[in-house]
Amino acid sequence: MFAQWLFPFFNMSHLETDLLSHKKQGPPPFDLITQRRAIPFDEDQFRAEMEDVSLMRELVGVFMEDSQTLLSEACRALAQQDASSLHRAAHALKGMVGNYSAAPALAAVSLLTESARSENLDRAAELLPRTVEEFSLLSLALQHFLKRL
Amino acid sequence: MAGLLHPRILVAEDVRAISMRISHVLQGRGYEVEIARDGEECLERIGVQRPDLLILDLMMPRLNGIEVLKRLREDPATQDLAVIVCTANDFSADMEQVHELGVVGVIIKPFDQHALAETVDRCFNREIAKAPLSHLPTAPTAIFAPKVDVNRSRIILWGTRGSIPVSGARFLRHGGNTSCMEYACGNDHLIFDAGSGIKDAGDALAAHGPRHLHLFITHTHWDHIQGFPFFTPIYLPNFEITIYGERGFGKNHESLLSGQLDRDYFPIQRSKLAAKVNFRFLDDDPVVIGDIKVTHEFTHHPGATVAFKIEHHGRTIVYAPDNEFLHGYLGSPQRISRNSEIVIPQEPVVEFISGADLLLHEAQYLSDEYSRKIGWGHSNLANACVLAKLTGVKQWTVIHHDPAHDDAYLDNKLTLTRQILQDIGCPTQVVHGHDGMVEYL
Repeated sequence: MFAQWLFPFFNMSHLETDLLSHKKQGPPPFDLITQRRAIPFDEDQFRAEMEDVSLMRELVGVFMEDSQTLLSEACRALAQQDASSLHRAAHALKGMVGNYSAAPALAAVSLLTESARSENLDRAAELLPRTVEEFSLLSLALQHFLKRL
Repeated sequence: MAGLLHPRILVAEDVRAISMRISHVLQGRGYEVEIARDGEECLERIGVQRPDLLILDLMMPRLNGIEVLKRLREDPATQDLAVIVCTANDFSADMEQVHELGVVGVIIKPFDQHALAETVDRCFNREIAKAPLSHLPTAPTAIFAPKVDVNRSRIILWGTRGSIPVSGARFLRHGGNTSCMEYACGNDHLIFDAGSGIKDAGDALAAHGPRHLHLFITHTHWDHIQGFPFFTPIYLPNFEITIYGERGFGKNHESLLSGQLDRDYFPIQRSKLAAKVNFRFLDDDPVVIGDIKVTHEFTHHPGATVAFKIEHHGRTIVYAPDNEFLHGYLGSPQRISRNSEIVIPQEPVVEFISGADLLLHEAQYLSDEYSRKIGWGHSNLANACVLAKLTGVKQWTVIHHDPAHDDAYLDNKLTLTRQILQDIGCPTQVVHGHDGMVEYL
């Protein structure tokens, strides 16, 4: 037990809990997100590119479900030092987030993908927490966006 | 394929967000769309459904897109199937192989849905389907892809909160961990203070394997040492940690840091630490680690508190999280100069900071708060602005945020800081530090 507590970075359930805890609490006021150093996603661009409310609703739902699964896979792969699986998960995350006009998350996961592709797991270990953070913030922003759709 | 009423398109794509978008676009144009989630399912569906067009992702589970394409071309029944590759993989070697295997189009993700629709529409008008390979659109081959040089020296702020950790949505952007900063360059990692932020620092450093770490303690107030028992490297064999601190006025940094591992406070005692942990007192000589020089100077704060100066590669960084500059002064910053009587007692620290490229320094209180907290060891915002001006630092990153100040409050405070600096004619660039902030130097 102590080892798990001491090394939460390698504990996938910790990261999942972080993401889920935001869901339980509900999104904070949107100005907290928009005033951040970088906006999690460009709502105007997202609306312009998708052009369809039902598609946007579906995409937000898919993000909520799939991003957590893929982030968990990435965490598991890193904990097992499995560069190939990490690359596959990071690549899928990159492909997914490319649909949400979410520059900060895309930038973070692109670096992670590149480090996994080059099997630089030390670098990946540095980049994964940032990627999780960006996806968590994007998730909050999308939840709030969904309410206003 | 022209003239088909509802052409059948199979989309082989493992990322649901992408297949959903592609389906939406194509169904809206009258196409029948089916989805396959991996390479093997793709081949199975082609055998059963005989689609008119395949939109193929290259990187898929079970069987990748290149292999799918090879098998299709080997099978007489599918060797002429029109294929559009849709991929984020823009490596030229893959693209050459894709074109050799014969495709009618390549779309690079993230894609524009109008471009996708146009490519598919043209395919069914026979404008592209029968075109020779040499006329096919080519993927970019010379992409400018700059990368962050992680070997450059950098500052990582692991904890930027003062006094006590905070959490919750109101503190999301600045973070809630107490003081901890890392200066990293190559294999050298210097950590400053052991507030709760040192836990994240330790987890990150532990992942890199055994090494010699250097931990500098500005002073032993709770918010600068409370994370030490949670600093992962102290429990790992083959790590060596040298901890530098002042002698103090009674208890020194060794007794106070180790004291947190007392049985009454914590389940693991010092004797159980697996790393080699050394304690050293700071003296007048600089600490030299590789080509990094670290010196210190006392600041104005209760107890034996110091600021640290890092000199490396011609740059100077000063870390001074706790310093009550111009003790008790609540007047206008316009009235203060280097020769002012109130500055003279603090001349040593002013001189120590002067000319730094980067100053990490607090500005914990606004004047209404400071008037009630004089002598607590923290600066009034306006007085901290005076310090930036008198020392001529190029850049100031504000740290040690008050636990009562949430994100919205700090945003306003930063605006006010810039206004004061402008009003007193100080050109220093100021930003607020936040947990996880990385500054390459």
